[in-house]
Amino acid sequence: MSSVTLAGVTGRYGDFTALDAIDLEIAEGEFLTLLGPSGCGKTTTLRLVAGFLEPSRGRVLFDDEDVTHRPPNRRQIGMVFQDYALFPHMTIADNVGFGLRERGVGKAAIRRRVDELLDLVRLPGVQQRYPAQLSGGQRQRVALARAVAHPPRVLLMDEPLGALDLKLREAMQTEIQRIQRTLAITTVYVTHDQTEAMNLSDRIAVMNQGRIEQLATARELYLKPRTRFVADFVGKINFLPVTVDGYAGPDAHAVGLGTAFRVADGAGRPRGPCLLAVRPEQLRLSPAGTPADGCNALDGRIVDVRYSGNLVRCEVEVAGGTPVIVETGPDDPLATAGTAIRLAWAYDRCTLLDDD
Amino acid sequence: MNGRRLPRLLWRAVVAAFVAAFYVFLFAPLVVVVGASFDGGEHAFLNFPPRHLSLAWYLKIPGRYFETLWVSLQLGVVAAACSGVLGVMAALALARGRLPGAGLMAALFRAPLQIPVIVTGFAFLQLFYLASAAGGVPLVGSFAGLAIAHVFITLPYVIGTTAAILQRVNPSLEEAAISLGATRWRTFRRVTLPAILPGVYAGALYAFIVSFGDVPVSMFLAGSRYTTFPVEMFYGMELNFDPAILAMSTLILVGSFAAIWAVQRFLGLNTLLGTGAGS
Repeated sequence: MSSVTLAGVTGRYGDFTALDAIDLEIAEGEFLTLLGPSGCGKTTTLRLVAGFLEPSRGRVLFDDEDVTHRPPNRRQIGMVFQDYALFPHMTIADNVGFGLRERGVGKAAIRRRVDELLDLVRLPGVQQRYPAQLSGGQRQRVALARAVAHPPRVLLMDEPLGALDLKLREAMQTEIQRIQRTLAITTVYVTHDQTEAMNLSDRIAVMNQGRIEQLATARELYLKPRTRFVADFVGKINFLPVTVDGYAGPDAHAVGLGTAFRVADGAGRPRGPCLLAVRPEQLRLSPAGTPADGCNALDGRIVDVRYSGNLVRCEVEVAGGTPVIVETGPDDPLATAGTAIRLAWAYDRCTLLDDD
Repeated sequence: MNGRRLPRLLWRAVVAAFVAAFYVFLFAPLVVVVGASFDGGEHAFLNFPPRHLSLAWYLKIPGRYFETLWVSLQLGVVAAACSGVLGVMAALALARGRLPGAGLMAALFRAPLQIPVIVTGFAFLQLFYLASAAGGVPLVGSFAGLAIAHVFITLPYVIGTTAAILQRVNPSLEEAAISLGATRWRTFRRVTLPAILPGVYAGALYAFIVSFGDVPVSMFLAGSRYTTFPVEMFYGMELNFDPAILAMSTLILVGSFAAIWAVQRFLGLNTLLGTGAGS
């Protein structure tokens, strides 16, 4: 296992800069996810770590070793692909043992290790079968066993669950996490699925247009998004246009939509226009006219209500016609279309972001 | 119920008749050749159906037919093998390499299919004359000369079949092998080659068939020492036709069917695809 460092790495395909001077440090044994929409540079980053792509600038380090110009077959990596990439003409045993054989490990040792790995991924007894005889989930387990066989210094996974259906994807998330923790293997995981990223990762790097927008734990990303893009990409969020007009200790005062707001720890914001961001589940519905004691309040009218079992999602029209989404309990008596209500939320449950 | 079954039966009968007609169209000429080869009459005509059943003409097949057959078989194997190796290399470079002008090169590699073979034959004859004038290399009428020309006309078949299958081989298979520590050569040997092998075999088989059946190119390049079997047959038909040619053709036919059966039996393309499912 190794730590992985990208120092000022730029990746280009021809004239297109897919990755723009990225700095990234992945600790030994850490599970780090690169999260972002397609074309954000997450796969490029993974391929740079793997060595399939050489950076046009910057360095790639495993521990303190510079591997920038080392070809992928000498980097001691393990890689799991979205389409599994199992060798169709080889048995499962030969697939899993492939890397060991390339490293000159003896036949008996390979057999023992393959048995051990198939036990690890909970697929004992499939040694003599071929990939075509396994289901999608089973193939992905084999791919995982093959990738960690040698064992690698870093495990790279490129949307490994993308081809599976939802139920299987959730089951496989648990499996991947269990195996990653058992082996304590440094892992870089690429996905565009924020739920997957939040379930699995120690830290998540949210990427956009060839840059890392924010690198943080799932909790921090969700509660303290640093940019509008991150706030929008990870979970649902409302943006209210406001203007910062004063400070109170560590908090900021802002006005917008004909209302005054207070944002905890907002003192770092300069005066001027920005966005107040607040998650739908942080908003409480209260009857119109309820005094706003010790929290932010905004008047509006419910225009649409959608029931989805564990919660009710209301669309609220507030001053200026801005739609605000509120998530409340399925039994909330106020959640009826047409009701005039007051939205309330705590000072520390919202944040101020640049309107970019 | 009968009212519904009848049209279906009728339809089946039409299809059966069409299929039968098709097979007659395909096999009738062969039946005539085979049948006539068993006619024992003294006259050197084509008699079908045979009037005097006899193997007489089989015993009168001239030795030069067997000699040239041996030349053609060798030539076919050499052409198929060389085209196989070169074709795989070319297909890999075109499909996987980062070559500037790969499209133009692909078109060039297809060119031998678009040039009339008679022109190809003439061009090689001129080229070989030039070569022997310049360096004293006697290529006209030699096995090497024939082999070079046959590789030229058969190469597109191997490139075509190999490139077609290579396009369907998932590039992440190769990346997976490399990520597991395999060198480029080992990746080719253990992953790419097994995946494209059916295409290579199919292409090499085409190459052999094209080489074995070629008259126009070989006619220009064959000499007194090295003549191919189809050229020899062609001259035989032109100059002194006798039913021995029919007898020889029948033998070739039997040999071809045996070869096709063997290919299906031992190298069947399904098993070559090698997923092993169901095996």
